[in-house]
Amino acid sequence: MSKSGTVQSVHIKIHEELLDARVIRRYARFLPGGPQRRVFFPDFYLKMVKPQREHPPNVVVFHCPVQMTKFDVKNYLEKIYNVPVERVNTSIPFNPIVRDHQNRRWMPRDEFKVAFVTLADGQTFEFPELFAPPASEDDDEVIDSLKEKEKKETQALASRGGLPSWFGI
Amino acid sequence: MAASISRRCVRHLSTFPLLNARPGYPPSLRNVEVILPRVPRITEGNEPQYPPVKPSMTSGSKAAKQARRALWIDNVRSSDTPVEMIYLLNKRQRWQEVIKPFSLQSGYGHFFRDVTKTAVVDELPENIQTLAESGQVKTEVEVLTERVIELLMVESFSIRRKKQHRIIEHKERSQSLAQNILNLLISHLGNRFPHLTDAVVDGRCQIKSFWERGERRMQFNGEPVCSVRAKEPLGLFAQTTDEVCNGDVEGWPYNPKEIGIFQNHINPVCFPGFKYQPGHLFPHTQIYGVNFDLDRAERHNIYQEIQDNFGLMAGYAWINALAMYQGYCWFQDIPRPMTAQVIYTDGNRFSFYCYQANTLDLSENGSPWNNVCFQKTSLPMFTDVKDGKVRDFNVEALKLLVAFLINSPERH
Repeated sequence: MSKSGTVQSVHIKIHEELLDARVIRRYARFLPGGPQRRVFFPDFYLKMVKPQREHPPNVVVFHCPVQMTKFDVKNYLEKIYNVPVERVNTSIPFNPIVRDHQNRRWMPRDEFKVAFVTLADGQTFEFPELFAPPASEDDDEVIDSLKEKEKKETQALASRGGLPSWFGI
Repeated sequence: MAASISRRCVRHLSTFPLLNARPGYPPSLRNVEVILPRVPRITEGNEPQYPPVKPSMTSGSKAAKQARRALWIDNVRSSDTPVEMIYLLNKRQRWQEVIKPFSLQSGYGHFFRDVTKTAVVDELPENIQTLAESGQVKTEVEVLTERVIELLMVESFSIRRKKQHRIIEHKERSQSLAQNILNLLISHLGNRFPHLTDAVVDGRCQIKSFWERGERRMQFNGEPVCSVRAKEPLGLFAQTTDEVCNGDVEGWPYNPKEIGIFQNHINPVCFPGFKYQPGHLFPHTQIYGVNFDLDRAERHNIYQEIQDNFGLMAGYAWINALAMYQGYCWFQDIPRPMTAQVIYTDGNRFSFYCYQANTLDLSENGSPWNNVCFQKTSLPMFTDVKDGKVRDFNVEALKLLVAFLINSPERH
C-alpha cells in the first residue's frame, strides 16, 4: 500500500473544490484496527524528462506531482510497468509565489517534483534524441551550401552594378 | 610664418606643458612633441635585456593564482620533514569527498577505481598462491587448524556478549573474530618468522588519509581491527612493466552524491594509526571487520560489490597515509611501488586483497602506471557452529591467512 493517499470524498466544500482542483488530498492516518482506506484512480502521473546534468547510466529522471512519495513512484513503476527500481531520490524545485495587484498570493507556474530513479538488476537507460541536432558551424557541408547561397545572391546584384532590384521598375 | 603656424598648431594639440618647453632647449625644438624611439621586437639573437614580467603574488588574476600554486607545490616538494609537508598540504580547508571503504549504494565500484586509478584482478598474485600451497604453510596449518577451530568455538559459546541491536552484534562478532585470529596466528608464527616479532601491531586505530585526483580531493576514514606495520617494504606483486600496471582506468564523470558519497569542508587529516615517528613506516597486513548494516547490504544485493571493492580503497588509503609519513605525496611520487595486504571478514567469510600502489601521482599527465589490486573475495571459513561443532571448516582460507602473514620482505 502506498504511504500517501488520495480520497475522492463526496463532501468537499465548494471553495476548496475550486482552489484545490489539482491537489491530491490526503486521507486520515491508518491505525491498527481502523478501516483500510482504498485508493482508486489517484491523480498520479510520471513524466519522463531529459536530465539536465549527467547521471550514471542506470538513473532515469521523472516529473511527478508533489504529493507523490518515493514509495509511490517505486510502486507505480514496478507494478504498472514492471521496471525494477533500486531507489528513488526526490527533490521539489523552487516555485515562486507571486502577489497580484490585490495582494493575493498565487503561483504562476505548476508545481512538480523531480524523481531520480535508480534502476536495479544492472539495467540502464538513455534518454533518446527526439530532435535533430542543430547544424554546427564547423560542418563543411553547411559552409559550402552557405557560400553557394551567398554567391547566387551577389550574382544578381553584380549584373546591376550592386543596386538592389527594388530600385528598378 | 611657418614657424609661428607650427607653434600655433602644436599649442592646439596639447593643453598640458610639453616635455621640452624648458629654458635651455633650443627654440626650434621647444613646443614640439617628442616621439620616443620604438622598443625593438624580440627576435632570434636579440634576447631581452630585462628579466621577465612575473605575475603579482597577491592579485586575483589567473596567472597570479597559477604562480601561487606553483610556489606552494615547490614548498611541498622541498619541505624538510614529512610533518611539514603534511602541514602545507592540509593547512587550507577545502571541499573533499568523505570516503569509507564501502558504500551502501550500488555502482560505487567505478568511482573507487577511478579515484584511486586501480585495476582489479580477480585472483591473487602468483607468489602468494605458490606460498599458500608451499610445504611451510602446510606444516603451520596442520597445527593451527585445531587451535582455530577451538577459537571459533570459544567465540560462539564461551564469550558472553551483551544482547545488542543486530547491526552491533554483527560488528562485534566479526571484529572480535578478526582480532583473535590475527593475535593467535601472529603469536604462533612469531617464533619462526622474526619479521612478525619485529613488526608493530596496531590495535583498533583509525586510518585517515587524503589525496587529490584532478579537481577532486578525497578524505578516507577507515576503522580496521588490526594493522601490522613493518620496517622494510613487502616485495612487489607485479612488475611495473607488466600489462596490468600499464592499462587505462575508466573514468567516472558523475557526481559522487549519486552513490552516497558526500563532501565536507574541513582540514584533511593524514593519520595511519599513529602520530608521526620514524621507524615502521611500511604496510604489511591489515584486517577489517564489518562496520555497516550487513543485512541491509544483503537485502539490496550490494554485499558482493562491497566485498569486491573493499580492499582496493582500504589498501590504497593505507599505503598513501604511510607514504606521506615518508615524505611522498601526489606532488612527490614514491620512487618504487609500495605493497600492502588487506583482509576483510564478516565473521564467517574472508576476503583477501593484495594491493600494489605503483604511483601516488594520479593526475592525467602524471605517471604512465596505474595501481593494481589482486583479490579473492568471499571465501567462507566455515558454514556454521552448531551442537558443539564447527561444520565444513575450510582450510583454504586459513592457508591464505597464514601465507599473508608469512609473506616477508626477505622472500623477494
